[in-house]
Amino acid sequence: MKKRFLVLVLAAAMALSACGGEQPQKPAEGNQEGNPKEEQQPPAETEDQGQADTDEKEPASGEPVYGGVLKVGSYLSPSVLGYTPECGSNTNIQYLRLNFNSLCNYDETGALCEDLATEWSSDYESKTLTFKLREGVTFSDGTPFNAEAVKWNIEQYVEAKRSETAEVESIETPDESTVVIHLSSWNSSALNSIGYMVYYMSPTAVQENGVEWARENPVGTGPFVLKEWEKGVCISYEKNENYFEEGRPYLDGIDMQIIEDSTTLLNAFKNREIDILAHCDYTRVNMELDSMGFTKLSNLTGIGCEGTGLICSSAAENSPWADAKVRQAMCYAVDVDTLVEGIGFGYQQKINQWAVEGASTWSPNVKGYAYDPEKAKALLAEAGYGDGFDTVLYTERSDGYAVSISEYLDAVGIRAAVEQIDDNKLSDMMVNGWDGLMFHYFTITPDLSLYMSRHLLADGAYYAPAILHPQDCLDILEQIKTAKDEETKQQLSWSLQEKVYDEYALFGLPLYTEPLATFVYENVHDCQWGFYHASAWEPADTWMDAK
Amino acid sequence: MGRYIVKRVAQSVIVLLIVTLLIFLVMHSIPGNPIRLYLGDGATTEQIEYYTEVFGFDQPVLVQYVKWLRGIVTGEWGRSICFATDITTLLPDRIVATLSVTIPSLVISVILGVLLGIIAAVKRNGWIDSLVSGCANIGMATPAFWLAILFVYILALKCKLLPVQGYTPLTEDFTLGVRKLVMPVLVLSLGSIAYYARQTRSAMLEVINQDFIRTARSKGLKERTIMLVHALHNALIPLVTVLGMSIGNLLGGTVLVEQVFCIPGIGSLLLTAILNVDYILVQDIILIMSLFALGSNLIVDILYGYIDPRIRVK
Repeated sequence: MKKRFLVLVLAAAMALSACGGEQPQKPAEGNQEGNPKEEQQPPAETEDQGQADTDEKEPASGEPVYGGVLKVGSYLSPSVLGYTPECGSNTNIQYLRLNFNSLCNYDETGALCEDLATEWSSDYESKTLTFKLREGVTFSDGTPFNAEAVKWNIEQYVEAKRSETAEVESIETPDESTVVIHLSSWNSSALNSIGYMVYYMSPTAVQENGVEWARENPVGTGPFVLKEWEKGVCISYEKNENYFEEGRPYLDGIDMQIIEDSTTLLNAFKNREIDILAHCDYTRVNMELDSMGFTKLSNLTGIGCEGTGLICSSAAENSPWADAKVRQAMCYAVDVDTLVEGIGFGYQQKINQWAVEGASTWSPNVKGYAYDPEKAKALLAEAGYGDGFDTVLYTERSDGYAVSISEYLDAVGIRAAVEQIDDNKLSDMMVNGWDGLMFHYFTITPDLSLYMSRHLLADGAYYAPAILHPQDCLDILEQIKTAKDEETKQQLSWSLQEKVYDEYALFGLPLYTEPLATFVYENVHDCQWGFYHASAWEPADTWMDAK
Repeated sequence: MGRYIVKRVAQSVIVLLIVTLLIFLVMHSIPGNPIRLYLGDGATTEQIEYYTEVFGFDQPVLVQYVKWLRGIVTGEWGRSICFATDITTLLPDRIVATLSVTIPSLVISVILGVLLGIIAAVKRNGWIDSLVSGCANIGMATPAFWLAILFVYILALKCKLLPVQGYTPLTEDFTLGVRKLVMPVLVLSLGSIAYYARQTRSAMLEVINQDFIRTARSKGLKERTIMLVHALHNALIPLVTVLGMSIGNLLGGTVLVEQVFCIPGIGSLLLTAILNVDYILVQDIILIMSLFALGSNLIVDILYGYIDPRIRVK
């Protein structure tokens, strides 16, 4: 018996020592940008440095390598893959770009660049947009991509009541490769929104099989075609042999694995079960992978990133929040610098308006609110709330923001009780209103009016029922929409930022934006994940060398 | 016995109807709009109104409930909003994935748990009993999520023996499928083994002290026969009750394990459906789980009659 026990113990010890002998794979010191801690690397340098890095490892060629199946882990699960008018959220963009193209893409400056269109122009006087299409492009079902296909697709978006195509009145197709879009009223956002947000499906495939079929069967012009879709689990793609860019894509296929739990996603990446960990907005995961030296890719332009702020219900007449001075007092009462530094661990970037610094819509004239509790108290006294008042701060968050903000507010007399809510309640309050304070989430785009109008207009989809809608702000919004040129539009956007944030504190206190980080293994190159739009990447350019 | 079964089935149908009504009302009273989640942040008011009509959510709640019930009877289980597909196409694979984890776990738990419980009872107050009882207490007190983290850290990240996550159908790749199932099955089993061991031990101890066991001993029967034939048979009633509850939980008790190990089962599907306020999908899943639980309870009730004929007579 004792002998048998000893044998068992020895066997167990040997097994354990064998297990322990194998070390977990460490990330390489270098990366595709040639810098282990690199963030926000411009693509030109990326390519050059990537080349240098590859040269060191593969002195023979250094050229992109063909083949391989890339495994991407993401917590974002799409509902619809193939019927693009129903793919409106940022969740879909990373998937859309595998099967589809838009007429334009964004470059490193946030400006539109070529994709399916090679030229474009807009005419304020005649209220038209004209796109010259790339020739020789076919959909993955072999049918041609031409002006008629563009017309048909935009009509589907109009039918689905997409805001991007709300002003489209009619579409002309003078020849195979020219599309002229007539707008019912001039909208300065139309070029951006139609140029980037409309993704082109094969009209033949959709018409022959129906919308229901199209939702699950994407047929576009993109670099990959759908192989298998196990809903909520994995989406497998294979190379589109008819892709219009010669020599691309490099990869044989891509598996998009949906892993909702952040720890599991992290462990799957560490265990190298996935090559890319996409859209990591968990500070904890970010910190751990960063500290381990993994290659991190971040957004360059702020486009598609989410801004976070603190918004108050200003619409109710009897509420203290109806007074701009009270809202401004709230803004002065909170030390945003300390919060962002302390809770964001350096992963958050402080903002003072609906834009990131340097973007075209970022107004240098916005003063913002430097931490000044005395000024906050004075403003409250001026507004008749010298003794402070009671309110509620609703939060769905688990970080320290709500409690810390509540303490800052309490110090000046705004007694904000923190009430924890779930995501569904948050969604409900965003749509139907609330009383007190809550967190404000907004998408940052190069077109201020396009997204701000969804909150600022009286019939806006989010936050609108609980906030004031000052007429002068609405007037500027309308002027932005009808701006004749980009310079006018920019000036108007700046003055709207000043009005909304400095004068009215209508959206309360802007706090921070957190660029979504994507982590990749060193053998994955040129995916450009999130570079120009937080949710987009370039699957056609992506290549892998041996692990 | 036939009348008894008919009566129990009728009761089950009533319970099922009450459950469906309750879940329907609860789902429709919680805040959140599935159409907004479906369309995303960029949705306009017009878009939301358009799709609300398309999905039939503009109709009165009672009409929606009746339509849903009629659909269940006619085999049209409705359409998931967050997966944008027919629910009947989603469920079968998910149920199979969940059962792939829960059935091996149940088998392991019952066999090991009952065996350890019997040993502990037979060797009462000895070191084996102390060891089994101690381990059972630890097993029951250990949270499954902590065990999951521990296993992932040791078996996957450190030793590289098993994959961290995922599910591969056994019919597709048997070896990989088994490797992916090892950790979830272990995590699910350990707590259950402890539970079964404790239940078996206490049931056995109760029986062992009864007169008929002493009579069996005085007749000169072997100890093994006394324990396995006479004692265990009489200790089965509480064990069957526990087993019935476990079978009822086969579909619904694995949400956490499925989430941690990224297994596309019915539990993780339910969680996704709830988070996305996907009314119809939640209702359908709860209906299936209720059916399963009621079915297992019915089987347990029938089994009681066979194990202990006195129950049938009553």
